[in-house]
Amino acid sequence: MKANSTVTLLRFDWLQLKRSHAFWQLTALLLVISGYAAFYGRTEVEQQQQKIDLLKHDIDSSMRVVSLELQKRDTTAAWHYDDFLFSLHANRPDGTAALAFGQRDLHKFAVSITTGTYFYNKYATGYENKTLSGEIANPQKQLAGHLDTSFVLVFLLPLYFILISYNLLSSEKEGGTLLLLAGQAVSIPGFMLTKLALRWLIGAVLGTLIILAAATITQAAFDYRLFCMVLATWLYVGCWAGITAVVTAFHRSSGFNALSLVSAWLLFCLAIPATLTALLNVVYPVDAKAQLTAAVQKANARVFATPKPLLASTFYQQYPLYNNIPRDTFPNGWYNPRWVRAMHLLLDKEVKPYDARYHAQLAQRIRSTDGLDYCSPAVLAQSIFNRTAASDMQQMLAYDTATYHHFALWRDYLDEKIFLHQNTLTKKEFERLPQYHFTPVIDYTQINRRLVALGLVTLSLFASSYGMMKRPLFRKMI
Amino acid sequence: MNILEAKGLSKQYKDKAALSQLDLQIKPGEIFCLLGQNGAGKTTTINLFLGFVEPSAGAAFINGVDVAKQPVQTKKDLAYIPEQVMLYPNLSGRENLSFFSQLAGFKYAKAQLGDLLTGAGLQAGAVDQRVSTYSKGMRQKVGIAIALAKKAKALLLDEPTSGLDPKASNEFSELLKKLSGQGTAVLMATHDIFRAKEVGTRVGIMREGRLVTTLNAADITASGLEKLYLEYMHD
Repeated sequence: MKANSTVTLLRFDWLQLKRSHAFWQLTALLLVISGYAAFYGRTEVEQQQQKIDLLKHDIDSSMRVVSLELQKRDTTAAWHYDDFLFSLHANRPDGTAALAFGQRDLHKFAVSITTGTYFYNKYATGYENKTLSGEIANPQKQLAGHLDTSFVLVFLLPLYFILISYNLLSSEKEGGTLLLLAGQAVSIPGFMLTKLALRWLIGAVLGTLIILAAATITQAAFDYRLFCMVLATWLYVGCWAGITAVVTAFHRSSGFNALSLVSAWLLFCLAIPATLTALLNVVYPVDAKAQLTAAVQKANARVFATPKPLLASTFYQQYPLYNNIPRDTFPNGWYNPRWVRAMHLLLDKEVKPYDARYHAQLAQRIRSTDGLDYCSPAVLAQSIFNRTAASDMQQMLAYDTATYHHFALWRDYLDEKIFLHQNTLTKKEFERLPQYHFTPVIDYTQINRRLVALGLVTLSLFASSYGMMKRPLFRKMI
Repeated sequence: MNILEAKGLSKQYKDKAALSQLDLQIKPGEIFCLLGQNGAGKTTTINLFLGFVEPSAGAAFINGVDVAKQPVQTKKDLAYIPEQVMLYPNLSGRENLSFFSQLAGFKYAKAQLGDLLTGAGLQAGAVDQRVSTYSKGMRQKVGIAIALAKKAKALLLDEPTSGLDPKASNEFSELLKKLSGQGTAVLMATHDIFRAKEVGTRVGIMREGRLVTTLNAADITASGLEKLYLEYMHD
């Protein structure tokens, strides 16, 4: 097709779209939902941020008690202030996370690290579980998913695209204009692709606007991550343009096209993701976490009832170097540090296999999901958004692992002061308490791989449709 | 040189021959009218010249170029008016004409587009109205303007006066004569024997996919042509 023919087609096709009330109504509806989605994402992120800030405030207050004490005298009893020493370990969501909230509400996003038992703190304390994880607060939401910006882009933008593109060529046939067009020196496949290109452009521009507006509302950084989301949107809309091209190439009626495209939407956006989730739940059941919580609670009760001498001997087997304190150094009450530490140690030891199983299952699930992402363009696009927003399961696992390491670091640091440094904590040692900030490491290799896959799917769909359109058009259409 | 030419042109649909061994030459300025019953092969002939269907045997040529081999190239020299001219309803007559003439490579000024439309018989007041408000005759006139704007060497018409009132049909005949005078070769499929006699240079009668006779329109009267046509149909 000549360049000026292409420009003419684009200009007049746009003129017709501009005059269509349905086009503007659909666009307005999509923009309204996108606005809601942006504010929804922002609210979710703000709620998590507020909870983290609240926890930080509590921790800072406790730590200020120790700090004030250390201002009065340079050294204090480490064990005496054990209950005031906390460290915040949070997976703090940023503005970009508001665009694709992903798995963030399914996992814990903040833990106050203490010298106590890691597993009990993390899984079994009722207050923190309810406050710092959404899974108990709103199970309904887990079923419906989030109506965030990524939902609009992955689920609603294709529907919008289908509604403005399903009758690209069939409307020409049904309206009778195809005959006049076919009498011109233009190739019909070229004509169809030009019309599709305009609709792709509309979808891509609209998707970009939705992302940029959402980023402004959620105060997300305008950085490479946002660019990845924009690029994913362009390719994803391209993919739907490819699917539309293939359906159009069958040269059937508008009704057939609409039905086929909605079926494709149902298949790629709903059926395949639902089947994959069901499959993963069968192979890697999610009950491992419930078992883990129950195991922690049971172990806690059991350990609490274990005779103190037995607990102490277990403790010294693990830490013989700590067995340097005269038996009567500490008061004999129930809150004896050796006994408390021994109890924590035994509890963590008993629970560790459950935790290992849960994490192994999570890791296996992540590995399987990586491959299954390629089963559907919608799953692929959602995966790109979640990974870019650091809201994917991989990040949740990374945060979990980092939390455990931070806990171990904190505990060992303080235990050394309690058991080896005559139960003293100096001002300097207090200032050097281990600090750990979790920063998600975004795997751009995985993201780029998925972007390339979306691009390849789009190209192959267009190549197929062009091949299909080349010859038998008029036997079927005219 | 022949602008439109068919050499042994045939089209077979499974066990039915839609067109058999058509040999036809139409020179610049000639108006060739094809008469025949429904299913006689008139529309198939036009569709073969347009490249809408592939020939089973033989070839159709436009300005010496094989249509089946270069379907897009041959349409540059060709204008086509179907029986029912359907246009984009949410564009005006002027916008529709602008669109189709730009596709053909001609960019006209707003006033020129208006002149072309009024020249084809469209009322001046309707030029900028949406086509959704047009009658069939008005759409047909826009179709004629589209064909005129293309300045094509050949014009293919598939029952173009069907449904037009006598005045509009008469205006259409005048336009055809004008185009013929400018050297355009015209192939028109029609049921209208009197219109064929009136505007045609030559008249061909088709039956069951075959061109059974060809005669100069000047050599026969309208009633004579009707009689001959009926004879072929009753054989």
